[in-house]
Amino acid sequence: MRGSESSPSFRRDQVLRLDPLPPISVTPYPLSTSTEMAMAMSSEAQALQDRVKVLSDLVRELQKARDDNIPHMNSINALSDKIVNEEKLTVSNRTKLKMMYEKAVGDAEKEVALVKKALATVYQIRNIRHELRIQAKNSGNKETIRRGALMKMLLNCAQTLPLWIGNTGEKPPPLCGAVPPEQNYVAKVNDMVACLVRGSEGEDNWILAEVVSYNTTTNKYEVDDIDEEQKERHTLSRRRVYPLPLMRANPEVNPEALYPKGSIVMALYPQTTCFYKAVINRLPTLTTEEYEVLFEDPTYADGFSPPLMVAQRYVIQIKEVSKKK
Amino acid sequence: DPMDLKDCPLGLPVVGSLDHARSLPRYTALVNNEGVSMEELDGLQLELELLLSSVLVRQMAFNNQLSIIYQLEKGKYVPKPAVSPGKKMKREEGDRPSKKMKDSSGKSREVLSSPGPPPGVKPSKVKCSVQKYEPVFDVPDLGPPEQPKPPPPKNDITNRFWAYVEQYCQEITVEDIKMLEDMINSPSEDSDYFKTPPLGRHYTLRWAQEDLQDEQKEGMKLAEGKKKGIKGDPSNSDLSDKLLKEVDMNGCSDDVAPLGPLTQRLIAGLVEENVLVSDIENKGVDGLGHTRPGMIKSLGLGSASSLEKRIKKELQEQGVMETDYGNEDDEDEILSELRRCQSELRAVSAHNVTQLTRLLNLARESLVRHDLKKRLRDADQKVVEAYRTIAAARQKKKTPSKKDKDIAWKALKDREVIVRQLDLASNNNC
Repeated sequence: MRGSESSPSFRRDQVLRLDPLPPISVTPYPLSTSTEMAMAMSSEAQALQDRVKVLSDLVRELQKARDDNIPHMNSINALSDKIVNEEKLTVSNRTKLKMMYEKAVGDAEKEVALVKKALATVYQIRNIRHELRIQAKNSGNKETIRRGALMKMLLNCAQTLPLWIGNTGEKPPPLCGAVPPEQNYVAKVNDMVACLVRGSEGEDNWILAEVVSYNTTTNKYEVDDIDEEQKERHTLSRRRVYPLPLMRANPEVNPEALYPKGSIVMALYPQTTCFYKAVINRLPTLTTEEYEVLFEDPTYADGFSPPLMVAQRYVIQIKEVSKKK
Repeated sequence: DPMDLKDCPLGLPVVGSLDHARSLPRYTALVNNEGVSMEELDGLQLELELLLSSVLVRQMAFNNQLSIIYQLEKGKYVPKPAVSPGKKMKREEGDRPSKKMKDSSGKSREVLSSPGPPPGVKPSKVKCSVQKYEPVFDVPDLGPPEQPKPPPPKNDITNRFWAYVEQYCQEITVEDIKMLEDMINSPSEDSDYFKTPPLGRHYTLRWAQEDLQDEQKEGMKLAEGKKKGIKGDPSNSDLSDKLLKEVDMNGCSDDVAPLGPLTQRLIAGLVEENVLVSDIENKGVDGLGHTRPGMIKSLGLGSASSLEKRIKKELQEQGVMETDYGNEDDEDEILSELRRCQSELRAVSAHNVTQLTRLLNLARESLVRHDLKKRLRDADQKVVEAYRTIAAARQKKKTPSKKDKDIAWKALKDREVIVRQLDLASNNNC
């Protein structure tokens, strides 16, 4: 039961989103059938099923809690409507409202806790599958990833990057969305980074790569170009390596962890593995949405490409590397 | 005592639970015990995240309202926050932490705001204001992020180019034609240039007079210093005239003043040359007048130029000299130069007029073409409309009506006529 229309003189806050939400479509992670089969037949497959059962139970528990909360929300709406109709706020109503709000906050916290648990289970399932995949690859299923499959992988990876969820009032940590890494941050092995490499014709490009190792004595990274066709391993100083965010920021709760509109960033050009200078044109409004950016492109009349969508994971701070003599 | 609603800072939000059946299909399947496939796992993650976000937003809203209520309970005055359906990101000054979200996607998301920030209140810990965000960016390797002026400055070289070319390519207007006609018809004021002004006083005479006047003026200036009351200019100029006349008379009587060349030749022919031999030591080449002063004057021959004319006329009548139909003034260099310039001016004027006329004709023709082009555009429009009607009819799987077909044919035929006319007009110009 929703609240009635607000009286023309009083403007009520809107908390509810557009209903229904836009449908979610995820680029599926490309797995060859042979890998899928190998994974299905693995001994770990049972663990997967267990996790799925746990998830199922959690979700039902969550939904029950949500259903229980609905009457309370309806009474809040009823009281709010009454106040609006009376066109004044009495002290007794105010106190009633306060108690309802306080109860609702507690209810919401319970819901949040349950959703977090459900999400955690999903991550567990994903980790198990990740292990299975690696096992399948190592057991002789060596295929080089074709470009099309690579692009799908990159998209899937960006969409399913974990969302950072903090407690009330907590600040988003480094490497969540646009929050920069700590000063002495060192990217971990297998993390994705953007690194500045010199091409064969002497030109510098920021490319997408995976960390292989970090040498603490020389302070240099060893990275692999994500595009396996290049099969290039580079050794680079820290100045030339910038870690990609490890978590997505929630635009509804932590808009401060997003790059502001009009700011200049480096973004991964769609369907490529290179980063280019771009300008933020639109911010995502939901967790599932991407940035809309304009790439700097002298081939267009006004110097910028038409708007293109880039996920949070592939938007990083602009970094001008001073050239060493 | 109760508070008036219009003063009430509370937002009284309408709250509700996300309708999972409509918005979260995979989650709903799981709720209904239909399980989840591995392919759907990623989608499920995203749905759960959205669900979580909606609960968090709700929670934030409650906390905001509660903080306001707490302040009201303490008796503090809370200003009504200016809630704007959030399209713009408001930048707050100072320490008003405000949670404002930019609705750039055009969806109907409205803004939550939390007013005034006593430090103890929970929401203020959430430092959401965008301004505070900037220092977080201060990583040592990089400077603060660049902020170009949005939108990025447009490259307007193309606009300047077209503006420049426009001068050359734009349509001829009726005003242009009128201007050309005026230009052709106007050169009547040149007629002044074609008149030969009468000969003025000879420059030596004029300069002599002017010099005399100047000297008088200077003399007057000196004299004024000593005694006043000297009469004004008119009398002095009379004086100078009289002086000059005397000079003139002297000049006239003195044969050193120019005798026309014809006169001199004639006299030289008539008078014996003996004079030169005996007189040359004494007189040099002063001329005849020196030996017999006053003789020429006494002949009553008048001025040198009129004498010259009379002699010429006489000689011509006698047949000694060919009649010179040329203007006897030709010998005057200045006059010849003047005549030369005048003929040049005439030639240039004529040329201008020719060109202007040519231009005028071209302009008139192009005006005609311009009209035709306009009519062509209209005709094109009609054809397009007719096409659209027919296409729409076809789309609805109906055959287009006879009326529509007729309209279409007529439009096409009209257009053809105009095109032919335009071609004809263009060909005439080539």
